[in-house]
Formats: sequence, C-alpha cells, structure tokens
Amino acid sequence: MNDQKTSPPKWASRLIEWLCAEEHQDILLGDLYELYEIRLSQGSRFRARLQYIKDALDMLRPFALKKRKSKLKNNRKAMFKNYFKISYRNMLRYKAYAGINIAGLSIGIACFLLIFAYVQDELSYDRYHEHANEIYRVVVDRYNQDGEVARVFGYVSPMHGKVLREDFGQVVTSVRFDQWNFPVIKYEDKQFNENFFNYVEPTIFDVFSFNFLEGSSQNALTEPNTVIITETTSKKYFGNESAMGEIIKYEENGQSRDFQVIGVIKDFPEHSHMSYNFLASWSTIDNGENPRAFNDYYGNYNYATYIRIQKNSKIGDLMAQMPAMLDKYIDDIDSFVPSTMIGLRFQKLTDIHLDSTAGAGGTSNAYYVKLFSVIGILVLVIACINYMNLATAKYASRQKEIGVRKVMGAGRHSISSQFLAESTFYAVVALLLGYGLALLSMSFVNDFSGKQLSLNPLQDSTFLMFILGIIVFVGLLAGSYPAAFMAKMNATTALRGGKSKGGRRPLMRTGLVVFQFAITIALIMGVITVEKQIDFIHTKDPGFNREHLVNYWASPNINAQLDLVKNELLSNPNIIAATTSTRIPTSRLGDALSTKTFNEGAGEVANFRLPFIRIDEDFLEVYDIDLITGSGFVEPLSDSTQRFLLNRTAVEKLGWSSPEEAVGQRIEYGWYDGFVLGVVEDFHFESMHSAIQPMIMMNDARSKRQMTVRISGNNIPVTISFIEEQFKRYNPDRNFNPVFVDQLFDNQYKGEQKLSEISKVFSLIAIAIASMGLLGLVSYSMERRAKEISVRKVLGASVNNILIMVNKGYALTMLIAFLIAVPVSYYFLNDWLNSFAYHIDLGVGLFITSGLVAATLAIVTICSQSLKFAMSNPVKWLRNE
Amino acid sequence: MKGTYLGEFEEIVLLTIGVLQEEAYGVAIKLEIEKRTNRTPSIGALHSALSRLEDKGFIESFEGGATKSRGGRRKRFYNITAAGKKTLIKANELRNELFNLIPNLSFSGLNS
Repeated sequence: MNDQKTSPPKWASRLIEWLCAEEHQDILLGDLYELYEIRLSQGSRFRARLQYIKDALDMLRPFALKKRKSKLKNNRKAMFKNYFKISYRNMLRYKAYAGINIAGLSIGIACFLLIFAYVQDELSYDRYHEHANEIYRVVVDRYNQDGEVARVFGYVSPMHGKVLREDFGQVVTSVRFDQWNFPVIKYEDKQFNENFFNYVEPTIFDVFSFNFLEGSSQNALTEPNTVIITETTSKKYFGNESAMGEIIKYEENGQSRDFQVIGVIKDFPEHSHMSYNFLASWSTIDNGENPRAFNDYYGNYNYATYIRIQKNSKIGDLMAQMPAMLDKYIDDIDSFVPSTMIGLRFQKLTDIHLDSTAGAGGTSNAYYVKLFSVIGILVLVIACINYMNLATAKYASRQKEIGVRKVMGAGRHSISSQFLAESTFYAVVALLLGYGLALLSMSFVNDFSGKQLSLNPLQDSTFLMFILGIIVFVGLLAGSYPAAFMAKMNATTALRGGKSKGGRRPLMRTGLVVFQFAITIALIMGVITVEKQIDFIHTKDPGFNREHLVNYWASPNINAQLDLVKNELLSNPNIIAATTSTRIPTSRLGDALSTKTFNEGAGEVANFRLPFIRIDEDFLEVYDIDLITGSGFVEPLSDSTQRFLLNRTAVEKLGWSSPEEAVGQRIEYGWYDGFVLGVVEDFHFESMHSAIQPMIMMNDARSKRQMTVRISGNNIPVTISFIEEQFKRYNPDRNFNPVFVDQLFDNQYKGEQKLSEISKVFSLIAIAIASMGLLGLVSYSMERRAKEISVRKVLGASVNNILIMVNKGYALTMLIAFLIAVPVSYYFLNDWLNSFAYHIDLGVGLFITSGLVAATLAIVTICSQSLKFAMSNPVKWLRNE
Repeated sequence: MKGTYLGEFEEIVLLTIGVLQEEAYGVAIKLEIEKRTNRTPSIGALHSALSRLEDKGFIESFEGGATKSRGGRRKRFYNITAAGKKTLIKANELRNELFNLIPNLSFSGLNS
C-alpha cells in the first residue's frame, strides 16, 4: 500500500467506518481517496489532508449513517418490562454487588442533594426585592501606590449616594444608611440595648421592597424623629398593642431623642444580607445643624449606600464615569489625583451575600458555593464510576444471558437499552434511599450551616426537576459504559464463556480507576493541607498574648472615670491589668489619616495608608506586645502635641533605617502634630489573611470604649462576675457582654474551621465510596483469577508472592493517579493558601504523605479481598474443570 | 413513499450521469459538474443527491471492481433508469413550453 506520508488522515477514515453503514463505506472512502490523490497532485499535502477531513465530516449525512432502527417496534414495552425484571432478579441474586453499588450511589446522591439544598439557599439571597436586578451596593476601593486595590470598604462617604442620584440619569435613586448607632431604647418601663438602629433616607422605599403591617410607605420617613419598626421589635416593646403613633425614647452618649412610630414592617427575611430593627428618618440627623457631618466625598466611609439604576442601563457605563466624578468633586487626596487613590464600584445586590466583603479578601460564601458544588458533583461522579466499574467487571456472570439474547435476535441497540434501563433502575432505587439518607442527615447540616434547609419536592418545582435530572444523569452516566461494553460482546464468545477481548483489563476501566484514585489522593491532600494551615494559624505567634483577655464595651464617658475604674478592677488579685482602646487586635484597622514626616526639615506626605488606633498607657502591657525601643507608656497629652507609637512595618514604610532612628522623629498625623515615642514589634492586629499593615497608636482625650482586662487563669467565672458588678455600678442601664479575645481570634478563622470540617466529612465519604468500588472490583477480578492463583499456589507460590503479584497489578494505576492528582491539587491548594498572607508551603512531604495514605488504603482494600483467595486451598478452585 | 419531484441539483446530477454514460461514478460526476457548471459540489452533497435519486427510482447502481488508484476500494457506477429518462424529458418539455410562452423574449436583453 501507500506509504504513511501520502496517506490521508487515518482517524477521518476510521470515523467514516465507524459511523457509516457498511454498504456505503467502501464507495465513499474510495471517492474520498481518489479526490485526495487528485488534490495531492495539484497542491500542498496539508491542504489535501484538510480537504479530506472536511469532506469526510461532510459525508456524515443521514443517507450514509448506520440505521439503528429496530425491526420490531411493537415489543418495546414488553422488553423494558423484561429488562427491569431481570435487573431486579440480578439485584437479588448478587446481593453484595448490588449492595455496594446502591450504597455508593445513594450516599453520592444524598451528598449531592444536601449540597444542592445548601447551594440553592445560598444563591437565593436578596432576590425578593421587586427591583433586585437593578439594585447595586456602592463600594469604595482604596488603591496603593502601585494602583492595586489595597482596601475595600462596603460603606462609603456620605456624599457619594447623593451625587450618584443627582448627577447621573441612569440612577433612578439612591439610599443611604447610617447604621452605627447603639442606643438604649425605652418605652414606658421597657428598655433594651439595640444594635440594629438605622437612619435611612425615604428613598429606601423606591429601592427596596417592604411589607407594611401598619402604616404605609407613602411619604414615610420624610419627617424628622419618625421611625418604622419591624414586627418582632413591635412585639418586644408593645406586645400585641398597635405601635402606631407611640413615642419611643432613644438614648446614646448622654443624648436623648424621641421618635414616633409611623409604621410596622414585616421582619427582614432570613434570605437578606440586611437585618435592621429600626428604620429612622434620615432628616433626624441631617437637619442642617451640623452641615459638615455629611459633606465628605472621600473618607468618612460609614454609610451603606445602595443605588437603583434604570432597567435598561448598563452598570459598566456608570462605573466608567466614576473616576471623572471623583476628580470633579475632590480637589486632591494628600496632593494626589483623587481617582488614582480611590475608586467607586458597584456590587450587585444579589452578589452581596456571596461576597459580603465586596472582594476585600477572606473566604467568601461564593467560595463555599463553588467548592461545595464541585465536591457534590465529584462525589456523585465517583459513585457513578463505581457503578460502571462493578457492572463491567461483573460481565462474566451476564455473558450467557447476553449471548442468548443476541442469538434470539437482540441487536446492539437493545442490549444497550437493557443496561441503560438497568442503571436507571439502580438510580431510582439509590435516589429513594439517598433521599431518605439526606432527610436523616438534614438536621446535622442545618446545625452546621445555621440554616433551615428543607428538601421537599412537592414544595419546590425546581427541586422536583432536579431529582428527575439526577435519575437521568446517573442512569445515563453510570449506564453508558456498561451498556457500550456489553453490547459490543460477540454472541459466540459470549455463549462460549470466553473473555471478550484479550486478557487485560480494558483501557477504559483502568482509566476510570485512575480517575477515582486521583480524586481520592487529591482529597486526602486537601484535607491534610487545610488541617495544617489551620494548625499553623493557631500556633503561629500573632505578636500578642490572646490568652485570658476579657473584652467589653465600657461606658461612653469612660475617659472621665478611667483611673477610678482601673483601680477598682485591679483591687481584685485575679485581675492583672486593664486598658482601653478604640479597637482591639482581631478586629480591623479602619480609620486612617494623612501622614507627614519631616526628614530634612521639609514635610513629606506619605503615599500609603497608615491606619491608627487610640490606646491608653497600659495597652502594650495588657496585650503583651513587645516594645523594640523607646517608651510604650503613652500618657495622654494635650490634643496638639501627640506622642506616637509605631509598629516596625510603619517605621520601614516611612523610610527610617531602624526603629532607633525613628524614635524622636516629628510626625504630622491628620490634625495631630507630635513625635515618635516608641516602636513596637509587628503583631497581627488583623487576621492572617492580610499582611501586617503599618499602624500608628496614640492616646488623646477622646473616649476609647473597648475595655480589655487581663485576668489570671484562676477562677475565671468569679473574676468575670466581679468585672460585671463593677461595670453595673457605672452603667446600671447597660448590658454587660464580655467576650474572650482568644475566641475573637478563633472567630477570624471560623470560615476555615468550617471548611476543614466539611471537607473532612465529604472527603471521607468520597474516599469510602471509592474504596467500596475498589473492593468490589478486586473481589470480582480475584474470582476470575481464582484458577490462576490456585495453579500458582500448586506450583509453590507463597501467600506473600500472590499478594505482591495482585498489588503490583494496581501499582501502575496508583502511580498514574498520583501523578495526575499532584499538579491538580497543587494548583487549587496553592490558590486557597494564597488567600492567607501567612501560610504554610506545599512541600514534597505533603504529597508523599497523601500518596502513602492512599496507597495504604488501596493495599489494605486489595489485600482484604485477595487474602481470601491467596489463603484458600487450591483444590477448591481446581477441582471442577 | 418518496415523491418524484426532481430538484435543481438533482437534475444536474441526473443529466451529468447521462453525459458520462458508462463512466458515471462519484468522483467522475463531481469533476464533470465542476467542469460544466461553475459550482463545486461537495462529495457528501453529491452522494446525498445520488442516494435520493436512487430512492426515487431515477437511477440504478452497480458496483465495479476494486482499483488500485482508490486505495483498493470499489466504485459504484450509476445508470439512468427508464423512469429517470422520462422525468428528464418531461422536465425539459415543461421548460421549453414555458420558455416559448414568454412574449417578446429578446436574447440580447437576456445577456445584457
């Protein structure tokens, strides 16, 4: 024949042979070949080949394709009935096999259903608003000197909301929230501390949708000193009486206001990222008395702001106009062009729940949604692969049946339908069991996720569709390979009981096992990595001592009584030290002012963000923060001359070569002018997701309301109640809510903790299903090789020899799976680890450990099955021939 | 049952088979059509048309021996059947009839 170089692409010819009816194949291929030779003589080989492929694909027209029509059309129903009957009988006959299969599938389906319920719930947030698709939250990005986003604020300056609705036609309206109010609310003899008290603009009703129980949105919240409350709040204060028109008293920081209730709305649904109890009129605070409070175009990022845009306008167009808007209204930010320092961005309302930090980092809900979806699908796929493997491995027991069917006139088509029907039958049984399993484990999932998930197909039509989808998906996916495999079998070999093709395991099945192993190994790697990273965070020294620290909100005028309060506290021998500050480690560094340093006489404005906290002189002692140089004892001075403490990063960023050099340097910080008193070692004020930021600490006359007390480890409850007593003496009206700093510390990593738990559970399930599959597979292949093993034994092979031989067969499979798993999991785990500024490195050790764990698992599984044969008396298998 | 309608492309194929006489098989028909008309039908489209024509009973086919130039593959030759001839004649007559009914047909006008 022709030599390789001049022959047309083989695969194209094969495609024709595969798809076209036999009577046409020869003619069509001949024509293609002839045309190819003509073209080859006329032009380039490449073009000829290309044309050949094109023509070959073009050839696949209905007339040429194989006809798959069955000649008998009226026995379909009877045949399917028969398929199900045979499936059922086979199920009863091979109970262990059916058990493994159904167990795997139903566990897989249960996981999938639970994850589906969770994901669906996560995706359903905030969609109940009539204009949900046109509502966006305004977000501020703060850039660093390289133009990268250094900080994201979900709250913006007060003027942003106003400018957006006034200057831009695409914006229907905007609404601003002032939510930083923590008053005591009084009505007659009732009083409560309230955290969810908001001032909002009346435009709120044009943006969001509310259900009014009393009153209406008509002209609501336009008058000062009016408030709308939620149903629960109304019950809390007014019982079953109507709240309309009643006056409640608001007290905060010694101020007091009266509000008239003008409406009661239904509570915010659970599926809402907002939850407020009081909506008070904005005009109460923005009444012209203090015009400077609301005129910022940057900074003062305290106001949650939402816009609603016109139905057909594009949010991208609006976003593109933001830099120009900022430059128009702001002269400069620390002498830089405003739009190079900050940017305004719009986040879709329906995305807020999934990324509550608006891209500020940390682990968002979106991450879990994605992760869980992937895990859910993986678990289901593993279960399907199990089915495929077991069904094909078991072909020997079905050979005679297929042979007889073929002899009786069954075509490939009807054999495939039989096995697809069988897998669908399994899928239905597994679905019923899986659904039951999911219902049983629902309470655990609800405990864990803090949700009220339900799986009721009658309530939710999507869910019903989804269930039907699972049956089809599992039935087709799991059944496809066995169906193709069985249908291919030759009738005579099937009847004779020989092997279908050679003695080796088919490539496809090996591929499936590799895939399963690879997933297993990757999951093991994931579990180990997450575990190690969490351990790393817990054991890494954060730079301060978080043990035995009690934190609570002191009274608003704490500064006036500070010495007295501290002395009273310290009179208890179990209280070691106490301090006040505006923020405490484990929270976020929110506020920053502009910084000016004076190296060569002339002032130089720092081009990075240097956030501050206010502390008192005992802060370093209480938190056990190391002082590098200078003094850490920041006594309050007059407001004009300050003494600053810097951390090491701040010193480096401000350009001083050493902490020693920094001490005594002059700094102008916002409206403060002072000098550096001391430098402290870096400590993790924020979570380890972000790198340590430069920070500055000072002590002025303003109130620092976060009280932190260092106590000894003895008799903690008594010490706490002592602190409470002392607190109540000064704040009889206030609730005492102490928290432990080490708990706050752990809370920073709650997301990761959850991730670790859930990944462990699902990984275990996936690994268990995969092991079950392997178990079934090995047990069948052992049964087939029983004679071979017996002969080996007779010839003198020891039990060890046989075990090694069997394991060897799987060693290559394991190795390939390992090689696939390593890069894949490396990629994903690295990605996850990079969400931490401080993380462990993925070492060779991790991969080796995971590999070994998986290998051990596999070897134990394999040995548990093969041992039975290796140990048995060879006579048992050789007796009957 | 298949209709006996003769499509435009089918007609060309049928005519070409008539032209080629004994030599009418896939590639030859394709090349002849390319030579006579300005179109380059794909071999797939051609076989599709041939199969339709055969279904309608306008042509019949028989298989020739294997040839070396085709990688050892056989050729399938086509012949016009009586029914095919009749249809062709009918189509031709119909066309001429209609053609003659057009008043004041000027050939120079057609070409301009």
